[in-house]
Amino acid sequence: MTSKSREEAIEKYWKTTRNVTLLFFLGWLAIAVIIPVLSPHVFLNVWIGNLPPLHWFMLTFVVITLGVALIFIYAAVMDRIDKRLRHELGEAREEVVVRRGV
Amino acid sequence: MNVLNNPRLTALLSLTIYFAVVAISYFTLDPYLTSLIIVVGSLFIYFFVALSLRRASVDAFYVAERRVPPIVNGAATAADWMSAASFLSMAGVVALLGFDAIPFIIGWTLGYTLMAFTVAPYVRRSETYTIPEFVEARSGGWGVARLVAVVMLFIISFTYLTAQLTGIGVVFGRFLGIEAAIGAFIGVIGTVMYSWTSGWKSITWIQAMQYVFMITMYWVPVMIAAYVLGLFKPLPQLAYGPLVEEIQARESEFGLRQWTEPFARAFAAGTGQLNWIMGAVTLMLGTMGLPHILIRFYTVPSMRAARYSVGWALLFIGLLYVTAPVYAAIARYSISGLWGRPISEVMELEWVKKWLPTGLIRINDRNNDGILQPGELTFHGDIVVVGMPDMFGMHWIIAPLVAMGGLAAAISTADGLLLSMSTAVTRDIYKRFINPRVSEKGEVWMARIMLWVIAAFAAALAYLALKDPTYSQYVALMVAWAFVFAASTFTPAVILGIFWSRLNRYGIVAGMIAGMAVALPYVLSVGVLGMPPIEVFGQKIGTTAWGVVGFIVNLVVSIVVSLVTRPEGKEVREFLQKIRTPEIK
Repeated sequence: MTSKSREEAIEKYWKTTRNVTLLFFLGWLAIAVIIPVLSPHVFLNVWIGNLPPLHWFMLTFVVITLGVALIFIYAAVMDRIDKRLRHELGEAREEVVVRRGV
Repeated sequence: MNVLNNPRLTALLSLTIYFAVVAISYFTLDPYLTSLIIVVGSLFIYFFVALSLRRASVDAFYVAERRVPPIVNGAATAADWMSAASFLSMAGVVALLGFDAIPFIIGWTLGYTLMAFTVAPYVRRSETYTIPEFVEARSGGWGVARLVAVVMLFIISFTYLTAQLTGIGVVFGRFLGIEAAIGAFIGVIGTVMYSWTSGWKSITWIQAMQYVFMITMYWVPVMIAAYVLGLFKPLPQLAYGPLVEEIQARESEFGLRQWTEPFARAFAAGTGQLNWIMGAVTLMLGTMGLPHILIRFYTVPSMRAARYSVGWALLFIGLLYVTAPVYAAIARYSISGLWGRPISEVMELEWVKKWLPTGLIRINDRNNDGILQPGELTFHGDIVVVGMPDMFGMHWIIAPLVAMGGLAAAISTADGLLLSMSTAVTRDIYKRFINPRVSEKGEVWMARIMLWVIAAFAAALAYLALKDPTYSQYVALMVAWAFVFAASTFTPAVILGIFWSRLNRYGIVAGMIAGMAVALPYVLSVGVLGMPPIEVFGQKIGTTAWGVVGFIVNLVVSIVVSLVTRPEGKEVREFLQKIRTPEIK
């Protein structure tokens, strides 16, 4: 594999990672800041079934659950991106081997 | 075969012996001695497991050989994270402050979510051993940056450690009837006993074990109480609404503000929603910059493992944090159930009789009408967890088991703090600046000696804190201040260091110093000297909320200083490319 194509693959990987990070950062912002700020106004004293009032429950249960889910989704997304990079670098390496063989 | 060479066998044998001894003492000894065996005996389990994990390599001592599975590291991180404050006090604070205590719940959890995207995998990929080493590598090998980072690490970790040791003293003191200061010394000796054998290698596996003890002992009393109250519909965390309704009905009856009413009470010396959300965000940002937590992600095998490990950590932490409000609601329900009853009748309740002498609950018939009014019954937050077994008439053995869980929570945090400081002195000061050619064996021994020295200093400070009531009132606040300092120093430095290539050595150092220069005086003047907090739109900005200001100042100073000074060279570019790329075989 040429060092240029390797550099390009890594550059592309970092660009994708940055975009994914930004997207998940926005997700974090929603659950860690926006919902907590809006919850005491939007869900104030809304009662559903046996749950505690929604403005309380959203913050003491829902956002924490979403926080855990977001991390595992992020890890799974990054797994795919990592795999793609490894595949690209592996493929490029194979091309070099074939060319050298010829 | 030497049993002490096999960690699994040692753990199994230690646990079997422990439970056998507890069972024998239960049938033959009095409850006090059995309680003592339950609490102190747990330290011996940790000690023997640590012996079986003994190693003399720096890789073991600093980073647990970087071979810890993500799920184990997640449990260890949860134990490292959840201290006596989380285990003993948080549910109590929620019971007392209601909605206004929620920054502790979201602030001490959701920082992990951001940490998973922005910090943990990159710190792991750097293959450094300490956070100051990471800072130096990002500064192109500039030693000054590492030194400044060590100073910041000490300010953060020492603040936190003193509070932990005080917590250990209180746990021992309350449950075993010994002086709290002596309890703090027993705790620190117990902690060092199992940390010195192989540093992070030993404490990682022991912290994972402590997590299991901690979460079990936290859940047992609350689940029994929830069962008694019929809250398994299907889980207490999803079914305590009727309890809250009942509490608030009683509050309305007595003309009190409702428990779940937002922004009705002060949070960390501040008021209003702005202070509330800034406080929560500070705790989240601080989480990401605590050295003893960041160091945990060095111990997993890869970037990928680091990402999953953060997920497991938050899942395990969440199991306690979503249960704390249930504890709070049940305790408030039990305590508010006493309002309006004749005081003579209340004084006859077994749990009231037991806890009145401790001062954790106080009854004072101010209007001499013989009837208990809400204002005549005050309670300390710690009664919520430690007093729950008695409130519901549970068997006496539950209380020492809860104490054992509380002790596991306190020492599993103390050991992480102690080790992060001792490795900073050894690797970041001694090896880096004083004796770079020290042998691996010499380095490990130096780290072990520093562990004892720092532990002795911290124990002495905790002793003073417990002896002097004026000082001890600041101890609880100190935990939150550690987050303010971390948010103002390491968090912006690490995040910018990973995502902004233009950041240079001068920006990193100037940012950290500026962040601390903004955070420390405010915390001291408002938190210690009692000066009035700054008001924004009529809302008082408390000491915890101030961490956001420290964070922003650090960011701005780092960016401005980096832009007006020369960029870093090839060394940093290569370091950045490495940490931004996964391991490729």
